[in-house]
Amino acid sequence: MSNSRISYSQFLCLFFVNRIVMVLTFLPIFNAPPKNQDVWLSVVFMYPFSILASLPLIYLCSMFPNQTFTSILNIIFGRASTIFTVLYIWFFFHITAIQLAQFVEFMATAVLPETPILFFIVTMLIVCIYALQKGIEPLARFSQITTFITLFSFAIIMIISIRFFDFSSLKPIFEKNISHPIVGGIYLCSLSSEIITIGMINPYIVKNKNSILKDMTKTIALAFLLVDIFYLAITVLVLSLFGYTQASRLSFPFYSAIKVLSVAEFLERFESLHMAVWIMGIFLKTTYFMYILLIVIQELRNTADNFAYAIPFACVLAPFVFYIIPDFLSLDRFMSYRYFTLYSYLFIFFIPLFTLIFAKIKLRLKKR
Amino acid sequence: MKKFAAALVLLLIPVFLTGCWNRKELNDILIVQAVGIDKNKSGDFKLTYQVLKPKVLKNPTNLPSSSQQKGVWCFSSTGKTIFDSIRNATLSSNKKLFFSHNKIIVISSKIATNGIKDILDMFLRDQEMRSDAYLIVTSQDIEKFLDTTSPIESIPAKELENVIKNYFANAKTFPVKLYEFQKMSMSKSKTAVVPFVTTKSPLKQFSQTQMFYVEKMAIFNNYKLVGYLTHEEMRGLLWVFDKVRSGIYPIKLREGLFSLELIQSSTIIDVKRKDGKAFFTLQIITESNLGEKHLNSSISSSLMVKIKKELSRSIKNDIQKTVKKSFELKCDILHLGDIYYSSYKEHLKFDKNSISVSIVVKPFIRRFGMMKE
Repeated sequence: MSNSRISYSQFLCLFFVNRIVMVLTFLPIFNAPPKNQDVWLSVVFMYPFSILASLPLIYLCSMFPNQTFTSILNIIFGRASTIFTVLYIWFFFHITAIQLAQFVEFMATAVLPETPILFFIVTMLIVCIYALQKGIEPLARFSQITTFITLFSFAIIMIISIRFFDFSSLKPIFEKNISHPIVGGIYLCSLSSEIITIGMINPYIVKNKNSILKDMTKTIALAFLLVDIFYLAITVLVLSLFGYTQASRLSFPFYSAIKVLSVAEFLERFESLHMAVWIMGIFLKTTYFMYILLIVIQELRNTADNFAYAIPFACVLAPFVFYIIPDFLSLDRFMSYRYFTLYSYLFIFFIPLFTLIFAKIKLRLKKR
Repeated sequence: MKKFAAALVLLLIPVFLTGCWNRKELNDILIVQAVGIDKNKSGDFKLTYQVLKPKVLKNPTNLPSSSQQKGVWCFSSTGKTIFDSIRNATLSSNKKLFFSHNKIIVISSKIATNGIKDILDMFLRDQEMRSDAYLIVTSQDIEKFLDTTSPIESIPAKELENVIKNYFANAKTFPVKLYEFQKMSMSKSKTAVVPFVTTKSPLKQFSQTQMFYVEKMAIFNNYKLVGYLTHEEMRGLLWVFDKVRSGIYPIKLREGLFSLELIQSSTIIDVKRKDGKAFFTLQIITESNLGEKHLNSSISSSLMVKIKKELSRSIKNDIQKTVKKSFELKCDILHLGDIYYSSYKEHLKFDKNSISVSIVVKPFIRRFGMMKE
């Protein structure tokens, strides 16, 4: 596996595709607070929370520009960091399995119900392993292509769907009170498990050492802004077409919305386009998280090559995906705001924040 | 050796490209264009399918004058559930039904009165079905209705689709897709409308072909058929929904008879609350052209004022009829409850005494066609 480096713009593309991919099908906000047409406000509130949640990692990256987050943990906590590293191995492994499970769920439910799910898992893992062998730089280049295709195709879909937009579906605004959409925003932010990858990809980014904080914040802010704009447009489109009650009962609201879109009742069935973009995205996300998982293992084991762990981990992943999806509802329940919010925040926000505070204290004590 | 292994892998790849588990060959499927749902005497579901005959459709010179040359054929199957009925179709047909191109779902008015919520579930749940199929209600025998030989199109479902989509020209009907019906039924007012279609002979004398006719609109309250809207009442509803695209308003005055063609219209609804009563104000702006005149003299300014006044009166009359029907059936056909909820975040008490609807119409007559007078 090559240890080539990527630019900020490539990182932005990686981040954007990774975050938007789940929005394109599952649109999880429809099952989270405020549980009414105010869900679009949750998407708006997601933006500041996402930036805030990223700040501890961005600070840590500027303090340790050539270290991954797990190496930073080692520097700060010494031997005790092994516990955190193992926890993170679990987290990345789990998130990769969730991505695969969601891919399988979508394909087996909406597109190819008769195809055995083992076929999806194995084919996806084979392609992922091939991509892992190439390293982060080709993956980042692929993300640039995917970002362009995603932005272009969804811009077309949004233009097509302008006549379907019905802003009366968003009324009344603040039906309950402002706190519900805020809770929704916090939940949506928790789904951004990509935040932790800021810390993991940190040493692989080519950067100007004098302006790391500024550049990184700018990249993340822009990536989340892009995500938020698309997320908002998708949410408003789904609300306009189906209304909240119907949309909340759909397994794949955006996919269902695309299925009913048409241009002058002549050009229709855009779902194939959606599927192509989505599969590209899910492949990228799975590979990206697997790559990060391998980096952490490599650091823990202190070995030269991390690709050696790719095939063994892929072999463990396949049965694990079966384990976490006995049925669609189990995964859906786990990904709901009741369970996933706290689970995710622990890894993407609380541990990095705790590390940052500890690092600052340690630095001050050293200065004294 | 490495090159040999790579070549072997490349040669092996086509083995996996033979197709997936879900492949559907055109020769192995029956493409459903319309499906009709009814129940038989024993309480089982009876589904009738209008499926394409690709061999007939391949030859464009075929005119749909006889049943042999029709581009479709119909058959039915029964079962305990909708899905069961669909699968039971394979007991009599040699191919499996394919619903991805289904355009129309016809529901018998008999089963519609008992509620269609559960009936629609399968059409919304199954991945092969599409929620952009149009809903139709009919009181005719579903088999006869779907087996109609239409005069223009060789696929009757296509003709039926075009007929219900003509609302933009007549403003007396409204095509409703499955997901739109769901959206309306899941709103605060829980009311939706669906075209009620029958067939009729094109001329008085006997004819082999039958035409589809949108007789009225069926009203569904909480998924149950509760009544019907006449063409005028439906036009009133379209004014409220701001869905009037075009239409003809015949104006009868003492001076003569006129036809006004609506060209552009917009409706703004406002709601105010006072002393526990909801006051709805409908502001309608409509632009029209003079399309027909049964009068010898030219049109004076005073006559223009009279025509405009009469147009306003006709529009108000249509809407008032709809409001009256709404109160009669005790269901919020106009979706006033949704408008009220959007403004006050409270449920509207749907009662004649607590709701007042006032209508303001601003009509404009812009052009007089190709004649000056």
